[in-house]
Amino acid sequence: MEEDRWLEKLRSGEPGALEGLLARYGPMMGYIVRGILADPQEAEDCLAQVRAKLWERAADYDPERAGEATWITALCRNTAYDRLRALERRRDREGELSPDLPDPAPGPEEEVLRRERTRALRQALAGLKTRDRDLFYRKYYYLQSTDRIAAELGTTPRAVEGRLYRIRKKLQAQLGGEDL
Amino acid sequence: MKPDEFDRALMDEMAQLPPDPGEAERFNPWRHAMSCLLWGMALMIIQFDFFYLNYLLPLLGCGLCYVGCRSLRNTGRWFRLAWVLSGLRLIYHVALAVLFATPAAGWKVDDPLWNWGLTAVFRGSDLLILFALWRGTRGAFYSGPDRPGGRDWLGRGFLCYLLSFGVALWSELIPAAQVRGIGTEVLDPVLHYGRIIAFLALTIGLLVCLYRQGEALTGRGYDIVPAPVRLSGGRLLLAVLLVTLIAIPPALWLGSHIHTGPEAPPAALTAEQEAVRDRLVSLGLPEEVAAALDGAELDRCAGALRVEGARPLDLAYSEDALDRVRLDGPDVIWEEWSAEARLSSWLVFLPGDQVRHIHWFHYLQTPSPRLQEQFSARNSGYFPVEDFSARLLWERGGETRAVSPQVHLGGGTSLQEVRENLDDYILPTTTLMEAERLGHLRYVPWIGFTIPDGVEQVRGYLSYTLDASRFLEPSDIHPDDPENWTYQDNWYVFLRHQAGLLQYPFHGMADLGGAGRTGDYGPIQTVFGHFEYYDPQE
Repeated sequence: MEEDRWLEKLRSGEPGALEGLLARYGPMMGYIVRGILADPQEAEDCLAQVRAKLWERAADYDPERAGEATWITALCRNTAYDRLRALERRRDREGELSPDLPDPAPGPEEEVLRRERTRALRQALAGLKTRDRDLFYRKYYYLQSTDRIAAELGTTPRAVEGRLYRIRKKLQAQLGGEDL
Repeated sequence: MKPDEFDRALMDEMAQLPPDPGEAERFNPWRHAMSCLLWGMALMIIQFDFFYLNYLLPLLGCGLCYVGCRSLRNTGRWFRLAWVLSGLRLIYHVALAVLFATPAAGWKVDDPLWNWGLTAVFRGSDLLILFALWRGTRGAFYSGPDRPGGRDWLGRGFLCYLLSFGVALWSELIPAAQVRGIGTEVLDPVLHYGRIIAFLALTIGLLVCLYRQGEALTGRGYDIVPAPVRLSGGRLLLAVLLVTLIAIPPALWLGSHIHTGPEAPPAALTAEQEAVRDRLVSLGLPEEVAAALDGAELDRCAGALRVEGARPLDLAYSEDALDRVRLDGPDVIWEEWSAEARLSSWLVFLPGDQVRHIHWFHYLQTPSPRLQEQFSARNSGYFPVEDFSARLLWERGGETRAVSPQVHLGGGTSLQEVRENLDDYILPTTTLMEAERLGHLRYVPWIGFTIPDGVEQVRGYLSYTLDASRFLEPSDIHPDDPENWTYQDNWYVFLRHQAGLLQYPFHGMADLGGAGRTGDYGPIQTVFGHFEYYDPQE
């Protein structure tokens, strides 16, 4: 489906661009965020954060590198995932984040290693069948629950778990079986 | 790395690997369900009459439609209706698939009401399902928080389907072509070919609309929550296919067994009947044939003047058949189906120029498999025939057993019906002559039976009385001396055997009736003899 170039319009400051973009992609954004954050309030807060980021980062969008839907998907997903991880860390720790704890931001060496891992994972995913690849994305990118994946694919949770197990095994073997 | 740690690592890494361009909007709640639905509708509509695709594709289509509707059944009352309708459609499609493995398959061909009734049910339910899908899609994808607008492809598709119905009905009510004999005569080329093109265009239009609808829903329907299922779509389809395939062979087997009634030892003959039998043998009827005649048949032959054996004609058999058939005196002997079959015809001349035809067959070895058999005699149609009778005999445990099967009559179409449908016949002039001569088309008697297990030396006869008192007109043959004409005639005798079980749909002996075909009819194969009789004095 041809995209409407709402991000470009937003970048150029066209009036109504944000409203148009939200009308076009809002339901998709809600689908992604609510699939990751179960709490409705957290999900709404996250969506508000995503909308703010759309406004702030529209200038970062490069149509040569990714489609509009892909860029917005990545923004939603990563914002919601970061929020989810923060919630988990808050639950795991007692009290506030201590200033003495190590900086979670990666250093230069780690950045190189991460790029290497990403390349290997991309290659491994390209070797999966389309059906398996879709399932993998639903589980590990969109972070959907097994029950939700099963309902949306017209199958049973057990069948989903079985296929995910086989995919995981295959990826572990391809990626060295140890550290990712 | 523990599984949980590996999962967490994957989730972290996937932040750098969003879906490929063009794929992001494929991840939505309804893609799988709608794909099943739209593909299912397309397969239910497409007709391919080869390699059994005309049965498999609609079955698969029904199954896919049901799988798709099942997931969306909680998405509104229209999808729920489509789910119920698709379930019913699937059930009666499976039931019909099994029914077509029985003699009911012949009803579709023979009975226009059954044929059109089935068509109406199937196409009507397809139309209803498409309508429900259309309304369901409009309600679920084009309302609520989704943006308004968007082309109504399913609505257009529904209109195409409805119009194609109209064209089909128009063709049926006002035909522009007529079947004449073995061909079709086009009465109005513009209307005939125009309607065919219109129907094809509308069907293609519907398929295009189904395809386009799938694409047009992108970016919509994110608030749909598909219903959970207990059996995956793939397993459900496999189960449906297996149930159908498993049910078909037993249905074929049951349909391939013709019940001929209870067998019993031959009834004792009276002294007069025995005397008639002895006289027939003395006049030339083989003992084997005479011994098979029951009391009623012997009573009919009480005034026998003479007995003649018909002469088998040397037929133009195919190259393939030459090594399997031979003539031996009055017998045509076929070696077929791991068996040997003898065919012969005997004429018992009675007072008043009546001729009792006794057509005889004998399986010297019993054929296999033991499914449907048929024995029929196709007379020339120049003389009226009546008083039909038949009998089967076999040996069980060293004892003779007899059965009196029902004699069915093929043909017999009335003169009026022939006149009304004259163009349907391959040889209309000859056919009309026959109907005018006899008052109807010739009757062709046949019997159907299944050879029971544990019996051997199966044999039997089919008999009728032919009125040879005068040569009837109109006729396409004319005797040289009509005043001193003597009876002469020719006819065919057919012995048919079902050579295999697993042929779908069911092919029944009743479908052939009194037909004169010698080629295969599905698994049914035919051996035959062409006999003639002429006065030996001439």
